[in-house]
Amino acid sequence: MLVEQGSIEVCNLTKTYGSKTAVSNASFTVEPGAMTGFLGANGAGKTTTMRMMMGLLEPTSGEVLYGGRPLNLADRVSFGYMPEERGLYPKQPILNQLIYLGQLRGMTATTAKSRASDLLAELGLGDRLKDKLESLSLGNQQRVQIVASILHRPQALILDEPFSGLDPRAVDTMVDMLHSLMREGVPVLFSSHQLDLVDRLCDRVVILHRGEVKATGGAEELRESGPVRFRYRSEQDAAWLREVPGTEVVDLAGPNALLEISDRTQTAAVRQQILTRGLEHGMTEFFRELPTLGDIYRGATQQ
Amino acid sequence: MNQKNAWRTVAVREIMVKLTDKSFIFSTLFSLAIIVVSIGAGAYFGNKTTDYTVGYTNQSAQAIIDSANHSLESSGSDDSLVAENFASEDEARAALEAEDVDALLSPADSGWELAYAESSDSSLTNLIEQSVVSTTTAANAAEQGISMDQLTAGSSLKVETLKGEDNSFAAMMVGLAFAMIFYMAIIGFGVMIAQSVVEEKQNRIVEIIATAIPIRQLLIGKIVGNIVLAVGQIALYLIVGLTGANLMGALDEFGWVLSSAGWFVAFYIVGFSTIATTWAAVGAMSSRNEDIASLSTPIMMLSMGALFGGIYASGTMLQVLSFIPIVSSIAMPMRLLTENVAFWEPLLALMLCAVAAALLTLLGARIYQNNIMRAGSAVTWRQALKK
Repeated sequence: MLVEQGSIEVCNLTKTYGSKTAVSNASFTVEPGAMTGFLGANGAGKTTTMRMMMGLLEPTSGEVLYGGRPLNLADRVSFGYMPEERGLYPKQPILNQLIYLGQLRGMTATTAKSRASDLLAELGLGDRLKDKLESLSLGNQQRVQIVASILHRPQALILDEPFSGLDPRAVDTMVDMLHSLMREGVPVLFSSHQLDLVDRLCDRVVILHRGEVKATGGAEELRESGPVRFRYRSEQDAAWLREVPGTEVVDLAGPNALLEISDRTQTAAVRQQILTRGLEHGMTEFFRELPTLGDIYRGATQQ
Repeated sequence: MNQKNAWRTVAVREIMVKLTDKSFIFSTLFSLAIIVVSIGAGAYFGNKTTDYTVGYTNQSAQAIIDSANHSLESSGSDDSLVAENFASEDEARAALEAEDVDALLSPADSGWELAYAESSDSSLTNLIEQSVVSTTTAANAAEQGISMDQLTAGSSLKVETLKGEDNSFAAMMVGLAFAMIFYMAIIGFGVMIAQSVVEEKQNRIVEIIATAIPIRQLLIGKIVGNIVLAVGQIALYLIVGLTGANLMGALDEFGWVLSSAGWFVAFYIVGFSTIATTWAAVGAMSSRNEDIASLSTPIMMLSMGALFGGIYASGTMLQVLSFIPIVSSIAMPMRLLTENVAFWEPLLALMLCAVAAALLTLLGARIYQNNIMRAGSAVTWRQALKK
């Protein structure tokens, strides 16, 4: 199936409530065929940003572009959205309400029914189609919610905390589903405050802190762009490293140390120096240590 | 995309959900049961016949009772009068005390005496009195050598009513029933609309729906769905009611209701539509089901005012009320049932109500759209109207 290729560009989105600013001048891009993690603490403005992207909130200023032009209602109909507080009818059979939601997005009842049944079966709910939502466990309700957001083969996915409340197996199933959509070129944005999940799943990251985008880009790029650090391990005391010009010892524990190169352009020269002298001090390991996403997140949100 | 027609999908769902909702089905069946029972009761009491037994010891008393029975039969009544002979005055008295007979007819000093055990029965008294008068008059006339026709010439009185039979009491009762049905519909369906709105708001499903269709389509679908349900329900009540009345043979007596029933349905639909969107606004302002009760107070007061105004007002007051939107849905059918109303009057009242419906719908839709996405606590009317 051919999906319209299009990235979503968030341009200077701002939302203020009176004197309170919820989101300030946020700009980032959600690229097609990639999974973008939207990181931020509770209250950082993730949900507000996503609701503005889905047209549920009017931005105070700024706009959202899709494939280079302003995002309109027809585009949004083709998107999949999962709100933060889960939203489905508790007292209705799960298949019925999925058919209804499919119909609202222009699917025929027949198509919606067969697609919803397939997806529910894939998530292990094939024998509970007629059960009321409220009779399902929270994890299973979450699965139904996921089906609701991908039922109509969306051209983009905006998911607010999609993995919260899912057991590891359900996370894997859901990630598989998302990957198959991404292979068709669908851009996926999901918010989370679970750093490890974002680290594992995301190609790209947007870090939001108190309404401001603190970092955005590919996960690898972000790590590379962080401070250049080397891990040093040896059989002798490593205190001599303090005297090496152009480096700073971040952490020293007997024969082991973590070094940071002060001037990125001098990396090669400093490395050469340490390698040479290290061999005289019983060096066993010397390697570049990339920061984890958590380090980047903490660094970006320290202010 | 069928975004312009999305309201149909919403309306169909709204209807299907209610039609499979146990409490909705139960309350509809309960109302139907009340209708059937009241028609049955009405027919029972309306057709109830009385059999009078009057005791006597005297031959001329029997003639009077027979004559009374004869005039009773010729009047077309289903009641009957039976004469029972007793050998002695004492026996007759004993039978009266034992209530074996309803009354005892015996000669008195200057005429006749009709004795009852406890309370007198006015229709039986009238019947016997007339018979006594005519029988004695005939006897007196014969004594004087005058024929009965000569004596009673020119004394006949024919009773006629210009508007046919006088149904004022029944009309009042039917008007009351219409008023109660309307009142219960705007409250009952109103609360259902508000609950259905707050359910979507509370569960945040409205956010998913709002990304699929314009929020206005959701509102239209909800209102249309509930109006269809309300009209369907009233049609069901009327059909069952009229069929029941027909089966009981009471339709002849209630046929005059039919013409006003048509008007009532028109006022019912327009009046309900006027207030329906306001209920949706109440739902959108609430954050939980519990908020509906306090936020709907203004609508409740208005509905209650309309109900009591329509029931208790009369004369000029009622005429004025019958043109005020929403109140007119109760007051005008009441007037149509109980007095002569010019044809243009209900039409004008309907039009005024339609104008009010348009205005209130715009206001309700604005409040709905402004508040349906709002998270957090309930919104007050003051806040809702200010924006």
